Amino acid sequence: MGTTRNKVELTIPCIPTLPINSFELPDANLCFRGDSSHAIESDPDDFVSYNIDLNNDDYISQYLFFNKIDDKYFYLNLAQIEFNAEQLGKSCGNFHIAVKIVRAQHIDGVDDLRDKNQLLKAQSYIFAEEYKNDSNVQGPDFKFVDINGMGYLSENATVGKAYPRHIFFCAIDHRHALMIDVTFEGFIPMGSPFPPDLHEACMDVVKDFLSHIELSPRD
Amino acid sequence: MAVNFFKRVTPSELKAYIPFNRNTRGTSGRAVYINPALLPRYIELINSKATNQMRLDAAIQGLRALAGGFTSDSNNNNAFCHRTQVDGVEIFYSILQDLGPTNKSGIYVTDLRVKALNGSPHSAGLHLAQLRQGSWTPNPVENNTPTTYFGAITGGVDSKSGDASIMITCNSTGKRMFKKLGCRPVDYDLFFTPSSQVTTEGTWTTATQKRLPTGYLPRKLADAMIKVEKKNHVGMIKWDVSDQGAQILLQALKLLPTLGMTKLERQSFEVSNPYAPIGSLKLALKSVGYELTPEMVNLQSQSRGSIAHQTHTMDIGLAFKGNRNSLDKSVGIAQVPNALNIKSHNAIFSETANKALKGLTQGWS
Repeated sequence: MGTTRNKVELTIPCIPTLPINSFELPDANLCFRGDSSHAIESDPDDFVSYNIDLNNDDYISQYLFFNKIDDKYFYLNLAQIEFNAEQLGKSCGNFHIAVKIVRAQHIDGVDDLRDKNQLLKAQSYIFAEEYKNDSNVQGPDFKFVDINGMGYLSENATVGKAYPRHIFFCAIDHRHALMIDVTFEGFIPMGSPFPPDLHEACMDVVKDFLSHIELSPRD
Repeated sequence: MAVNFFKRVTPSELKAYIPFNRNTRGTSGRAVYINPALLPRYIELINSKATNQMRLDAAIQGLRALAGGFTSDSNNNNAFCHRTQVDGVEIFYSILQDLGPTNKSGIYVTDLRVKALNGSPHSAGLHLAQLRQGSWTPNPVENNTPTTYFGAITGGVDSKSGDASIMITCNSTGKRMFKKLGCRPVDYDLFFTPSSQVTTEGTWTTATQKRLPTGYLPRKLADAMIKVEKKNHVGMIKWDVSDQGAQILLQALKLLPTLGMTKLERQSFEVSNPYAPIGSLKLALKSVGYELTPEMVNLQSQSRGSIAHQTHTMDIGLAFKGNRNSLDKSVGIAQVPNALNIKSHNAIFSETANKALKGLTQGWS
């Protein structure tokens, strides 16, 4: 006889009612929901402006405090969003979502990220570089997922006993990809294994967030 | 350890309490008095994301009618101790009915604290902040030994819900530290000291607010510092100390001699906007053979909480050459009245705070 499990249900702020962030990218308009004002207020220089010209190297170099324009890849911050989850009316943890753009350039065999295989190849290269010294990294577990008509490459970037971290990539143009970097904080004591049911519930929230992202081609 | 009002506040301290504002002197509703030593904490809180001045004032003033009522929490071990919340701040108070001829009956606000978040109490202590894919993520260190050349001791960036989040703190501290150092960012050791662990705790635990015992964090920090000195660590470590982290460092430094460590040779310190008196820090560091010079101290005018902690205490002059007056001239700090002269002028707490805030804003050039 099988046992029935109660599904973990998390309550979060209604995503369609959160403030809207919009960016004019070279080929597309990007819109997503979430309050990033706190992060931008505390460190305004760290976030790119709403009409970023991704292909103007002089323009974006001002945002590269820690990288060089000729690095094989680098990141630009668009927003940093935090929202609280509740279970049975009590606060039970936080979602931290960093929305970034990753530029993959000068990586061998990668010249168009819109090709799924090349996106996978680029992220595999980056993952290998970033986590080469971490023997206890759980990922990458690359998977292609389709959410609300947008194709994402998902990656598990959890290291050791840190909070679970998942990253989703979606190509914007030949060398840029949108990056949604999600961490689940405070649900359980740090270092404890994350319960699968709770993980599933958290991933449902992330999918809800991703389903409200719009990347529409510009006229 | 139970929070006992009569152990924490002696009758002589009780005399120093002053009315919170002109509406809480007992003519309408009960009188509300507050400890004038809470002035720097009050300024720190109203300049944080945890709450704003209007809401905090309204909550404290509202105690004249609501104290001890349905919406307040009560201490299991002491019938006099109560607590109420506003935004991200907890207000601790005691209701005293009959205190004899020397003191007045009323509500006595004994402490103001940042509310503990569900996540933060678990994450206090040493973490390895790892820079991966453009963000730092904290990873708890099990043997409490730093493993990099850079360290940060901080209570972090407060969030709208009150207490600091380790995720935001990890990233913002990393960015700030490496920008200041002007070097390419790498992994660093983060000793996270969320503000709910800074002060002593009692029996105010609920299912979602498990807290650590008194002195836990300073002991952990002292242990980590001793491990660096005993060469468990690869070499020198440079600690960047800021906000509430300074309070924990101060307590840890006082513990070091009792743990057999009298000289720090493999650690250096830089202090930014500490929520502890620099003079006390300087003396505590000197006792373990480290000289804190003015170049290692960074005070920013935006951090009014930190400035209030400095100007409120009498020993700030020790941190600098010369006396208090020369310090005021050199950096333009306006004086915040200390507890003694607040009492001597029969002041009202909220009015004194407003004057102090005005001074802190205008006194900086």
